[in-house]
Amino acid sequence: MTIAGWDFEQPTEAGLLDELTDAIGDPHGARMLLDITCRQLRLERPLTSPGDIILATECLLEMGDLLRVAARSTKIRAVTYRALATKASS
Amino acid sequence: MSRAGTRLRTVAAIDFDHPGLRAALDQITRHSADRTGLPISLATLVLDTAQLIAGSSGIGGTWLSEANGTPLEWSFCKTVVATGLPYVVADAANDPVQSTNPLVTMGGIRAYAGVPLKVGGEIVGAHCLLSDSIHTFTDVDLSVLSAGAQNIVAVLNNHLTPTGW
Repeated sequence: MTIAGWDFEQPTEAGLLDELTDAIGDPHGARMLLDITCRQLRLERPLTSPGDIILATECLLEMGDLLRVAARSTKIRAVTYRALATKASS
Repeated sequence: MSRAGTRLRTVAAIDFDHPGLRAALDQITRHSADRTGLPISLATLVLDTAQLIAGSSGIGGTWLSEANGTPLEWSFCKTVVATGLPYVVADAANDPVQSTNPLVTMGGIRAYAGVPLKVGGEIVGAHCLLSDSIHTFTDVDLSVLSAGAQNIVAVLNNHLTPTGW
């Protein structure tokens, strides 16, 4: 649907999937990510309303932030181990 | 959502890899170290299984700098996050909680003082001073930490990601 006078098309689930596929480089992974998100939010697929798409994108944003925290924690632990192992063997 | 979950989401909303944030926190920690004459000052964010050093002074060239953090179980700052109160250890080698901490037994840390960093109502980490010798922290030391913490919180607030928009 396009808003009359503004020539602005309603964002769609397909558009969101395209964006996610571009970001992670894998359409299957993008679909899985959206599946997880919609299950978590109990949103019906396909997403049709702008409100549901906004909810899904907010969840994806937060998921990205939390993944960054989890990955950083593991990286700190791994780099610490490597650094101390090198120090101990020298 | 659990309290820990809410706290972690607040930490996650901080853009802690932003070079501007790092530069600003390095400057604040350097100021705290200079004003107290202590060798190390940190601004930490306590994550889920590790603490991240978001800004620092006095750890250049060490493994701590390379890892840019420590495992959570070694973190003094996690106590600040858990209690929401300043945490002071004047002699870590003889402290019942910290005497077996590898940062003390192997890393040479001997004294610690830290105060909370509160963002969005959640304690996300701590601003701390560390010494490699026994140190009795003075009221002036703690005032310097509190002032530094206020400045750090202002920087962190300026680097919140727009997730909640």
